[in-house]
Amino acid sequence: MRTLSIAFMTAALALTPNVAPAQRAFTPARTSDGQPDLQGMYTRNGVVGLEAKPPVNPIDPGGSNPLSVSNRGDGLGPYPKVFGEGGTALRGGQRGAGQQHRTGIVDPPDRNLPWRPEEDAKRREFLLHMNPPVDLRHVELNARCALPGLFQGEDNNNPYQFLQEAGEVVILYDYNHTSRVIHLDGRPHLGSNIRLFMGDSIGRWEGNTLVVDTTNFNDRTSYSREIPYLTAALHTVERFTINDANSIDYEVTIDDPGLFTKPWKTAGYFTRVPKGTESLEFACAEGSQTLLNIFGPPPGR
Amino acid sequence: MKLFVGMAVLGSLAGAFPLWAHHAFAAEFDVNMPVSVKGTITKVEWVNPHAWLYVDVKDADGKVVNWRFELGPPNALFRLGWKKDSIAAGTEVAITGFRAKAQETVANGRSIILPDGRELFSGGSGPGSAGPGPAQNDRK
Repeated sequence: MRTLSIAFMTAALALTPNVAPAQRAFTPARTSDGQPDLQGMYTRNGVVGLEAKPPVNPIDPGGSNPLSVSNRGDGLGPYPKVFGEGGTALRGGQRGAGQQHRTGIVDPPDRNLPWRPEEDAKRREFLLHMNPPVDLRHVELNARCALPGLFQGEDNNNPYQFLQEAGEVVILYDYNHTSRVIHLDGRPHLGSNIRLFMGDSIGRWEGNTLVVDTTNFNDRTSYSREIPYLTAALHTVERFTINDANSIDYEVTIDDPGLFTKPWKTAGYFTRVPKGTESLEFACAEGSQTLLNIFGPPPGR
Repeated sequence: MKLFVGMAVLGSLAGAFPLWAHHAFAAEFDVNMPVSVKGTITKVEWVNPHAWLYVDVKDADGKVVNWRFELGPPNALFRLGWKKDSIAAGTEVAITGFRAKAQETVANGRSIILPDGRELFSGGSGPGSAGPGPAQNDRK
């Protein structure tokens, strides 16, 4: 426990407001094949955000929603403040003073997404059937232990480990033990008949920015609980910019002509996690009881 | 006490910070079925995507029923100050939570009170489970 407490205190010091002068342009180390070195364990922050006018989400009700436990009047709602505001987020180290970061939907700036009206109506209707889920299709993808795609690997909880080999960048997700291999060797995308949860990623370096183009998604990924599915037409372009020794800025252009009339962008950032943070075993299908809890045991069991 | 040192430091770090999780609370557990039981721990499963706590509870007829309480993911519990051996089998506990929609003896754990009065928060997907704090929504 002492080790744990020290880890928290170390994190507390790392999160103390930084009053040092703004940092100069950061020059990262290089890997053996000449890539800017971004290797390490990070937490992701702020990538999944809300639209300006999100639909009511019945599986994830906010404080004013009658479905929220927060509204109970019998004392079984939130705890009183004892240790300050609660929360168990995995927090990374502090960025340099004066550095701004962008999170959530950043383009369009007003966060009104360019939905095709008929598709917006369909997803709002879809959400209405998620609580209780009318069938397996209306159980959120993560709860089914589906691989999380680019967006559902969790912000602020399960860390991401970046590794670099000659000609590739590998991202290991703690969440559901997913991995992405981003090929830098100039290969073309896979044939269009191959569809993947994590897509097919090819990348290149532009200075300190890793630009990743991903296609070949299947139709079983999502952006958020409010945008519970994306289509197989999804095409993303991500920009991972090494910001300083502790952080990577992240921006992704989401082009899904199956749902939207034009591309939009969301942003966030990665920060290094406290030393000693490790990835834990994540056998999702074996450990999850979600489907039993929603639908009950199968007949005869 | 050491447990609470960790929790206090954590409290100083954290703002209201909704977390994501493998599943939403409301689709799986029922806000209208709060659960409060006392019993004996039989097993702790320290697994992803959620840890599980098994508790033998005597029902009104004296029959022992094994309840299962969902906790948070192991990494969230660790950050709350839990360790796998924080609660040994045989420990008498009082647990509150919310029942699963389709299983009578399964619930989402909210807090666990130990024999010496200490309270552990579950780190689970329900509001308040992440420890003392203001009203958070169910996103966890």
